[in-house]
Amino acid sequence: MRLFRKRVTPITLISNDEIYFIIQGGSGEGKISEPVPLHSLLRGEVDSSVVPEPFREQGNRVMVVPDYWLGNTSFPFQSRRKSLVEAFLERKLGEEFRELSGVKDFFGHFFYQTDQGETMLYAYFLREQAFFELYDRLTEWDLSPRRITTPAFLWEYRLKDEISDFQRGGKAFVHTVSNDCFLYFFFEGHYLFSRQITLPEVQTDPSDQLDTLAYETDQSLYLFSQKAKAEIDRIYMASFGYVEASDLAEKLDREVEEITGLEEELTEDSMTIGHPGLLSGFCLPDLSRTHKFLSISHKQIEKEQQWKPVQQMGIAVGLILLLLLSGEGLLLWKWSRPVGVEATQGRDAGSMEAVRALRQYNEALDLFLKESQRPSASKTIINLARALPEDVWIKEMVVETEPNPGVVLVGTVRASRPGQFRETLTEFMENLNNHFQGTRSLGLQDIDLDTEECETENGYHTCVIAMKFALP
Amino acid sequence: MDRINKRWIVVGLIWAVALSIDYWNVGEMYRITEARERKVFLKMDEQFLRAHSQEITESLEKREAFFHSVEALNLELLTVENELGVLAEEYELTAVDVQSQPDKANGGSIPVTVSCEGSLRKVVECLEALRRDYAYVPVTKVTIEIEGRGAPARCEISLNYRYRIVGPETQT
Repeated sequence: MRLFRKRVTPITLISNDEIYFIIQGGSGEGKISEPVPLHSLLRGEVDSSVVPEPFREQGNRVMVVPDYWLGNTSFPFQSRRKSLVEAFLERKLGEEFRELSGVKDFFGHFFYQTDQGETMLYAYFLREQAFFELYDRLTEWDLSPRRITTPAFLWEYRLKDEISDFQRGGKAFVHTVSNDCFLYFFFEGHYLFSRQITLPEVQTDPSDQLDTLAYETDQSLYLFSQKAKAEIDRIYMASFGYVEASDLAEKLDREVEEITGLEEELTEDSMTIGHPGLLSGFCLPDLSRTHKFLSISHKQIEKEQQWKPVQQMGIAVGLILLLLLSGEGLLLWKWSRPVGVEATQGRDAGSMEAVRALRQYNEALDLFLKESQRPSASKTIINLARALPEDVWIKEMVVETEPNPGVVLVGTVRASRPGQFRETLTEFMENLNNHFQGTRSLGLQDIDLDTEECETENGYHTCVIAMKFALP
Repeated sequence: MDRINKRWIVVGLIWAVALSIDYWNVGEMYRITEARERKVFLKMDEQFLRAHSQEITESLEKREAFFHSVEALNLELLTVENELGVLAEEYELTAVDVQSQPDKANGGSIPVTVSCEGSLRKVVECLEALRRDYAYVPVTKVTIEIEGRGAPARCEISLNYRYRIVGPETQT
């Protein structure tokens, strides 16, 4: 017994100008809604109530449209850059289908290599006006399909597993269901074209059906050779009708290989779709999102899908981070409360008094330091007096202790001969250096001697000198 | 608005909230650290205060000597001018003139100038007495002029009178 049933993708099927909405029924099989005529829906004759409620809830995941709504083309292309290819295809499709404004939003592409090793670009696109109208209507109902595919793409995906050399040469696949027959043609592993044939009713003898099928197959083989410039290697057949592969082989006079096991597979799996036409041969899980059959999405939805993992990862990581940081924040908030209370308690009168006392103490120390660094005016004068040689006397003296401690002197120097000036002033400088240790070393160059003020009296030469120096 | 943009907004909002909480958390960490440091410093301050209360008290008392506590500034300034004049005369200095400049008061101090004449020795002694007994009137500048050898010195002493206005009950 299955405890967890895998959720199956809802399907919208367009077949014979009717729309079917398919979801999984209670017992697992496909549950198909009443068909809605396509023209009624496009003309607005029906509203969204035609869509079953469970289908609306699950959303429109996959739409299967007839093969003839799809176009494809294949040609050599040099660059593999996605942006370049997409821009090129947008322009090409826009020019080719000027009347279809939506064609630029619905196309897909991939690269493949031919048997000759040439790199080819395969582009597929929707080219049916009814599709664009239908898409707009479904979008209005908030049911825009995520992936749009065709039975041919579904068979292509399936046959790749069934046929070993599917990627090489031309392959034809005949699928008969009661009185309907579908012919699919693939070249080098990719869908080329398909045909739907309605076979005559079988009364007693199925030979009429066989004749019709053989004739149509023959015609299609000719069409294939014209399109692909190559011949079909082999014909495969899955018969759910009256014509057998061996009969067709005999009629065509070439080998037709029966693909066996499809019917058993379908009857074994309870999740059949249940629609007798286009989708017979498939069961519901074949159309689930995990299967990478070819499909087309609106460019906007494609962009959404591309960014979705990044966004989901961003949301997940962001939420985890948010959770961790919130936890951290809660802990910090809890820790901060006692600390805050202690800090508030610490600001009581006693503590404030202590802080004030210490501030005053610091101010007092700063004041003591400043006062201790202030030069003493009296000591400076005494030292100056001590430094004066016999033949030098002061006329004017300025002692500054604040803000720029220094001394400015104007005096007179006396000498009996010119050479004695130098001796007297050198002695004066030496004395100053001795008495004012800590100042810049003073020299004769610090003395400003005014030679014009020099006088001679009683055999002595006297000159006025001036100097200044900073106190330590 | 399409789904992709809605999702980007959700992503942006979640990350914005997460980063805001992170910002708040970092701020809270700093606040807690700061509060703890403040508490430790406060404890250290209290310990220091207890251990050195005697020295601190002495220092604070000693600091008071550097400021003249006054109730009425003009009155005290007049007294100080008078005391300075008397001091100069005590040292046999003549032509004493004491001038204060209250209009140039600067944050608890007023410039005061004492002009006088006398021997250089007496001027020095007077300056030394000022330094010793009048700590609240520090000398900022001394200008001395001597006309010739043996002549009396004519000097101008610039002082800075530091005061602190106090209430009658706090005066020391």
